[in-house]
Amino acid sequence: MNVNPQSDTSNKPEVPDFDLIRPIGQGGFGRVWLAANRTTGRLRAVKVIASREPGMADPAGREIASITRLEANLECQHPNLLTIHHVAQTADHLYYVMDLADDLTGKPASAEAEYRPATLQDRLQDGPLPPEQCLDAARQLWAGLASLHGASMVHRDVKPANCLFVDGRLKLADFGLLTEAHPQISRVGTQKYMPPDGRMDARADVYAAGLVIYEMITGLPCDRFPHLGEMAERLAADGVLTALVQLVLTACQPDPKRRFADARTMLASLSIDDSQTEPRPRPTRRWILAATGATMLGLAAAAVAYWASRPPLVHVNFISDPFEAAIYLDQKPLLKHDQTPYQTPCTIEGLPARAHHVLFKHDGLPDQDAGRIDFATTRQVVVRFDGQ
Amino acid sequence: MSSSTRATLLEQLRDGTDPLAWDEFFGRYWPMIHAYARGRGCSNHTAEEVVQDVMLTMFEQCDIFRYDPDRGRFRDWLGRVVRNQVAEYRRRPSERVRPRSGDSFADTVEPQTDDAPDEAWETAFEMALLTVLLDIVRRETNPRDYLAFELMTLNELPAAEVARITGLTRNVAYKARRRVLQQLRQLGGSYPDDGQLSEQIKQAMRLRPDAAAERSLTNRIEKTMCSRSPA
Repeated sequence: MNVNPQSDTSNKPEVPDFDLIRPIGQGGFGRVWLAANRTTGRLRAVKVIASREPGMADPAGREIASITRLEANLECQHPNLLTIHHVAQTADHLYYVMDLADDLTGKPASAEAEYRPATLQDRLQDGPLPPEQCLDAARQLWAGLASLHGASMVHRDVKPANCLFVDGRLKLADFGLLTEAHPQISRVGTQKYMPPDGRMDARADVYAAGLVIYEMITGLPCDRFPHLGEMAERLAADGVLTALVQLVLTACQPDPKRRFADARTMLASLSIDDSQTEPRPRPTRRWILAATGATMLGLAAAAVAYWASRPPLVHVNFISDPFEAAIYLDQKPLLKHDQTPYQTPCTIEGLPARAHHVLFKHDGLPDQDAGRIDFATTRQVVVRFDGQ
Repeated sequence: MSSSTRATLLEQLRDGTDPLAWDEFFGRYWPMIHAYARGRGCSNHTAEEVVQDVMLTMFEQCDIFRYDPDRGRFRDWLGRVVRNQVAEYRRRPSERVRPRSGDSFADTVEPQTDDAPDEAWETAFEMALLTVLLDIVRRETNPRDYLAFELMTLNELPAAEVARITGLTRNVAYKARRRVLQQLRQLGGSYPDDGQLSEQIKQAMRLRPDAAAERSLTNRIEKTMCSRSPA
C-alpha cells in the first residue's frame, strides 16, 4: 500500500454512511481513504474500488471473491489480521470499511493533515527494529499468516507495506490477492518478495514473510538478502537475532521443499524462550585451562570445571512431513514432563549440544532415520516420510 | 558476465528513452561515483550531490552523447565526467566542508592533494565492479552458504561461530566460502589466487554506500528525473 498524504481529493467517490476525508493509500486496484462515520464520527479506513467497466478487468469482483473467501474460511477474526467491518457496493464502486492504522508518530489516529498510517514499511525507513521488537513483530506476522494457512488460504502479497500497526499490534492487511491453496495458483503479488521457483502457495508466503523479517533485522531492502550489513557484528552476541536469522535462512531457501511447509510450522519453530534472549556462555579454551588449574584449589573449583566441561543445553526444532511423528534420540523416545511423547512439529528445550542419533516414527509409515546430528551446530531437523 | 560495460546498456542510454535503462545505469554506476567522491575526500552529502549532478549530466546530454567504443572505454568517459564534477565541488569553498547530521568530523574534512585522480577512479570502478559481481554470486548461491562466506570473510567470525549461526557444519562453512570465492574468480576472470581477493572484497564492501545513503539517493534521483522528464 503506497501512502501519499498529499494525494489530491478530486474524484472523491460517494459512499453511504461515511465522509471520505482524504486518500491515505493506493493499492493496485483501489484507493484507501481516511473516512469518518457520519453518525458516530469514528474514523475508519475505507477502501474503494471502481466497479467493472465493459471490456475491462474486474478488480472489484476479485476483491469481493477474496473477502467472501476470508469470511467463509476463517472461523473467527484473528487479532493479527486487519479487521474488515463492512463490505458493500454502490452503483459505481465496491467499498469496504476497515480498522484505521495508528499514526506513524505514535499519536492516536486523527483527521489532521499530518496523520500517516503506521506501516512496517514506514517504520523501516528509520532503520532496523530492535531485536525484541523484531521477535514480537515476527511472531505476530506469522500468527496472522498461520491463521490463513490453517484455513487453507494463501495471502500472496506479504510485504512490509501490507503490515499495519493498530493499537500497537501488527496486522496483516490487503486481502485482494487472497486465494485458496491449490497447486495451480497464478503468479501475482510483488515481484521482489516472490520466491525464485515461481509457485505462489503457502511456501511462497513463508518466503515473503522471511524476507520481511530480514528487513526488520537489518533495515536493508530485501534484495540485499542474506547480506547482514552492520548487524553481522551484533549477531554472535545476540541470541534473539541469531535465532531469527536461522529461521529466515530456512524460510527463504530457493528450493521450496527446504522451506517451512507453511506459517504454522514457521511459528512452531519460533519457540524462543526467554533463556535464548541472552547468549549462553560458551566454555572457551582459556576458561577451561583456568578451570583445570583451579582443581588445585579444592573440590569446589573442580566441580565448577566439571560443570563447565558439560555441553551447553540448546533448543532444537523437529519438523516432519506429515506432522505428528514421534522423535527418538539415541534410541529413546523424547517424552514431555507428563511422560507423553513429543510430536512434530515441536521445539524441544534443554537438549545437550552434542551429536545424537535421531529417528522419527509415524503410525503407518516406515521409520525415518535422520542419522547422527550434532546439536552444537544444527538446531533444526526436518524429514519427509517416504511415500508422501 | 564480462567486466566491460554491456553494449546493450549503452545502446539504451544513447536514446535515453527507456526508463529501465536509466534504472540499470543508475543502479550500476552510482556506487562507484559515490565511492570515488568519498575517496577524494568529499563528505557523504557532497558525494550524493556529485552522484546527482553526474546522473543529471548523463540524462540531459543523452540526446547528444554518442559513445564510440573505438575512441576509448566507457568507464574512461564516465570517469572524466565524474572527475570534473568532483573538481567543481572542491573549487567551491561553501561546498567543501558542509556538515550534515550523521557525518563525523572525518566525513567533512577534504584533503588538499589532487594527485593521481585516474588511479583513484580506476580503484573506485574496480571496487564497485567487485560489489556488482558479489551481488551476482549472492543471487546464485544458497543464502546459508553465502552468509557463511560473508561472516567468515567480511566479519572474520570463527568457523564454529559461523556454523552455529548458519546451521552448517564447520567443514561445510569452509567449503561454502571457498566455493563463493571460486565463483567470483570465474565471473571476474582477473582475480589471481594470491590470497588478496578476501582483502579486496572487504575494501569494496567498506566503500559501498550504506542503505540510508542508497535510499536517500534513490529518492532524490527519482524526484529529479520525474520533474525533468517530458510530460
